[in-house]
Amino acid sequence: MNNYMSIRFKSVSENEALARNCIASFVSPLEPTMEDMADIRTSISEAVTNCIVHGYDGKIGMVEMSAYTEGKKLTIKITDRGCGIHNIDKARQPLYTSKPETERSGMGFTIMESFMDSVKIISKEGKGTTVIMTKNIRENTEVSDAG
Amino acid sequence: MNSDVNISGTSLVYKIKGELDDHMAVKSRERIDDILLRREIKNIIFDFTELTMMDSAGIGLIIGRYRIIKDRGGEVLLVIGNSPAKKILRMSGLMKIFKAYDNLDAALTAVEHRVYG
Repeated sequence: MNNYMSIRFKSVSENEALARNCIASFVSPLEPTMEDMADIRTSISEAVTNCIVHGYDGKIGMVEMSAYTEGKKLTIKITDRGCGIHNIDKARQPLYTSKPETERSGMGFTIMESFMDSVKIISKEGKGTTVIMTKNIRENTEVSDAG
Repeated sequence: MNSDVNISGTSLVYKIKGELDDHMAVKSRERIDDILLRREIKNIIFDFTELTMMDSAGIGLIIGRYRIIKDRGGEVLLVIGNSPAKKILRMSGLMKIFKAYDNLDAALTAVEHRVYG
């Protein structure tokens, strides 16, 4: 079945869990493996954190998240209307962070790229950033011990 | 808060349950650093055995605490077990920097041997 969803939420760190749980519920009919589910949750966390910490830089804005499934393929789109990324190639580099004075590891995009099948970044300075990630959900051969 | 603090000798055992994201990392950092200010802690053992998810904020949390602890001549140990966090810890290279254990007893034994051995 093909499906679609979309939500908007305030750019506060409490909502990272909301975003993760929302997509987890949305994708659950595809019966992802535990590993795929963890990969998706982690990647959403990275993308939403970027919106909050970098896009809006602590100021309050709205984060928009939509997702759709086509067969076993999941696509997630996460958008902020914040400051945008000056240099996308640099932002994608492992260990690069625009906030070295904080405890940011600079691994956000690297993690998204390793955990998802594709990651596309569209950004305009002063306008905001959109991250589009896709993942093909693998066949789940794990034996359920839920009962 | 979904975390437990235990102090064993000069080691702080910090156990996080559930998900370690930016929100949880900030709270954990405040809690740990407050203890580090008040107590003579040399080592930090992060118990991730009941962690279901970790993102890059967790990496920042670990490295940040390591910077404080190394000045005290101590070390940071990771107890991972079967946590899904293993993947991100391995990917980020942290498994090469820090010693990882399957259970808390093994980590505590390693720390005690280092101190008294």
